Amino acid sequence: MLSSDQYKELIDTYLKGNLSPEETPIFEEQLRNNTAFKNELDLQKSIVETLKANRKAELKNRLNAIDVSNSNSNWWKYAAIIGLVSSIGIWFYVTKKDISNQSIIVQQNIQAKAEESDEIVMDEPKINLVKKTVAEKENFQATNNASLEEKKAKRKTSKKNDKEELPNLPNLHSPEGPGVHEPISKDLDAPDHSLTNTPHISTSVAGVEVVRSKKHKFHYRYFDNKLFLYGNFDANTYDILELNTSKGQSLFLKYESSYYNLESNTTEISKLEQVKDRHIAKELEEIQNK
Amino acid sequence: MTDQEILDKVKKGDESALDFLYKKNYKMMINMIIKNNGTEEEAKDVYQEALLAFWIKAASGKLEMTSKISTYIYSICQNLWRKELDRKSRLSHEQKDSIEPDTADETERAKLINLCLNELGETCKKILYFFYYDDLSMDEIAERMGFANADTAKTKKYKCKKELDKIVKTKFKTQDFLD
Repeated sequence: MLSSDQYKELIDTYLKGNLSPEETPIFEEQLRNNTAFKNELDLQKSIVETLKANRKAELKNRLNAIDVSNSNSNWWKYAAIIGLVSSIGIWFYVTKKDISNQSIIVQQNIQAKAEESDEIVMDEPKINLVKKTVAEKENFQATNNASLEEKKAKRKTSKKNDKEELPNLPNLHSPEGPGVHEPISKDLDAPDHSLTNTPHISTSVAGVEVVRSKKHKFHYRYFDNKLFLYGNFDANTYDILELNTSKGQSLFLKYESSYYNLESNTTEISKLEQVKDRHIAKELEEIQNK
Repeated sequence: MTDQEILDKVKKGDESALDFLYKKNYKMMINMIIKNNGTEEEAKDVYQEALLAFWIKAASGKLEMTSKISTYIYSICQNLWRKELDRKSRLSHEQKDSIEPDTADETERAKLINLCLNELGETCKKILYFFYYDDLSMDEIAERMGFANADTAKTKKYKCKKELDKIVKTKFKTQDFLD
């Protein structure tokens, strides 16, 4: 006689399709002679089927939410973004607003949650993600270019080589490009590349999750378009800062008055490294104090 | 993203790789089925099934890629669509009297279990999905959920399943089950 747990194990193995030649006769014998076993099997079948169906529905919902209207060509989308950027740019120019947003601060206050679980806890942090659209942000820079200090202008020019990474945009500098593009650069003296940069910004993450882990005390990684922070981050407030650097849009973490790099290509769990570049650290500080 | 980068992401369970693949190959797959007497709705369904079949195989590490990912998914699409066409032509030949008598009963049961599933925590649901649908090993579940090792994952899975069974069984009191 097997124990009831062992019978259940047998059913589970069967449902996963892993029954061994030795287990098969035991299984069949039970099926013939044990009503409770037969009922249990039927129920477990339904449970497993439902689990599978639910997971499948979850993934299919995800796929159905994807916009596939332009699955092959993207150029017109970029053109549209640039058009939008330009028109907002004109508006700002006309209203002569002095906006000096150099970066966007994403403030997050994570409520500490005491959890008694021994392992790892996927907290649902209460995040107020104050994220502006790429278009708005780029545009701030375009309109304010004239008033920006030399230093920033210099940094901009160093970004020129970003253009090479955008082979999909043949029209950007030619007169056939989006109509609004031309006058904007004339009126505002905005360097062309500040606009062509738009599609390059892809660091934006959909959210931040804090994972408490025994193994990783002060680590991070990007996964599923989200930023995961490993460690005891719910004890203190932390900030995620976004800054334009020579490498494009980058994210940084501020925690206990130090700044840390959040390299966008980090998919493996990696240790958080402090920002070494003094210029960047200074810029981050400036953003913070605004 | 290169195929290798996609595969790496899929193996880690990063569902954004799924989004990327879906979008990238959408037109090609849909057109193939529409050209072969399918509607757009059918095409979408078959394409999603094919992509998920790839996802499960690749995510659980049971896939040795010898061709491009798109070629692989394309061939699954073709197979699934051929099967579907077969099924359709058989249905039109036979009379549609072979509907099983207890399907109504089964859908009723599925509905009830669905309700039970909602009472389960998110972590538990994820573990059970990964185990039964994504077909992941305990090692892989541990990795994705951030557990210390496969044993922890196994214990968690056991507890979660037990909890679900308990919830379900209180709703099916009338029958005799193993306890």
